[in-house]
Amino acid sequence: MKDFNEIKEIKARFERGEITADQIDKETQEAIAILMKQEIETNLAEIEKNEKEIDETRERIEHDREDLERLKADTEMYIKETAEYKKQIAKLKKNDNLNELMDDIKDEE
Amino acid sequence: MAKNKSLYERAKNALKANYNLNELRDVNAAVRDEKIKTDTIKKEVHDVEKGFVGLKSKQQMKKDNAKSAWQKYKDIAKVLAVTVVAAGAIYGGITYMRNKNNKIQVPENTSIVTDGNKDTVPEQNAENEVKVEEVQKGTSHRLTDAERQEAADLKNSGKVSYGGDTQKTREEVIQETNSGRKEVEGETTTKFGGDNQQVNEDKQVIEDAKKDQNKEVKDLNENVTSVTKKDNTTEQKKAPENNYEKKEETKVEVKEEKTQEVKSQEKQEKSEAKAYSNEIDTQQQKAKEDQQKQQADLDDWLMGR
Repeated sequence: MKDFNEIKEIKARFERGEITADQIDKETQEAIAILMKQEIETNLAEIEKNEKEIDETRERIEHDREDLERLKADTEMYIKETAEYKKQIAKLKKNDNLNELMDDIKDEE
Repeated sequence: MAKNKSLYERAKNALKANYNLNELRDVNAAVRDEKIKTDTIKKEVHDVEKGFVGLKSKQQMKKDNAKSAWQKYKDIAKVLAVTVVAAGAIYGGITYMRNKNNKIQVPENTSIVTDGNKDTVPEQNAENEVKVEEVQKGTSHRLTDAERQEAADLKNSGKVSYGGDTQKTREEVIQETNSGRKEVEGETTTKFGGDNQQVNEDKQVIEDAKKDQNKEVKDLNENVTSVTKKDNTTEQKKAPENNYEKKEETKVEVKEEKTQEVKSQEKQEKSEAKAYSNEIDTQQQKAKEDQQKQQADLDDWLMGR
């Protein structure tokens, strides 16, 4: 009876193609088959978990993308309206009545 | 169940069936590769998610800054709009008061009175008012750009449209007005007011009349003396005994009669001359006061500019 480390070593050599199944005794083949099945089950579970996590992450990313677009739109709106206000202010600053009044105030000073 | 269904089915079948070591090896290798692949994808989507979180944070900051600026300029525009409306009202009031004051002042009154033609005063006043309004309108919306520019140039040049067709500086206006004031305060024979010239002419007429009257009185006295001498000679020839008394009576009567008449006439003429002189003095005083008031209004107007 081989110990666990010897079986793992034989399994690794078999997986690398260094030896064929025929070169492994039947009892060791059964042990390697059990290890491979456990590994397959574990990896399948990991794959399902990863895929689920990937889906959730992608969903969050999609929400983030929507939020980002909304933020960009809001920012653009504020920038655009600010530019309009700047134009209004520039226009108001050129108002004749205001300038005349300011000139009068300066003259008074 | 994994998304790679073929691999999943293959793995399940391998697990259920009696073991085939070669098949288990291939399925195990495929499942391990698939697991590594999903690990990589999972890591990538997590990285993407982190990136989006960072982008969202930056964009949120941009939005906050933009909103802050928006609020700031919105408030400024709102306040400025109200200020402009108020400025329009205030400036309108100032313009109105200036126009009103300018209408009252009409500095050209000085030259108008100097002309001595009072009938032209209202018409020239109206003309001056129009010109003052034109200057004030130089900054209003109703003027064209060229007119506005002309008004601005006029204003910048330091000159004002000071009545008439000429444009004079403030100093010129003050100097001219002061010269007019000096003329008023000086002797009465200045050109101030056509009234003064008329008054002087009238005074001259009075003086001439006085001289004529004095001459007439003198001539009259001489005639009386001459007549008295003749009468005395006649009486002496006809009645020598009463000659002296008659001569004396006639002489006294004529002298007294003529003297009373002349004195009364002189008194009346002097009274009339004095009254006329008083009237002239009153007119001169009034003209002087008017001139001083105009000068004061002009100074106020010039200080107000």
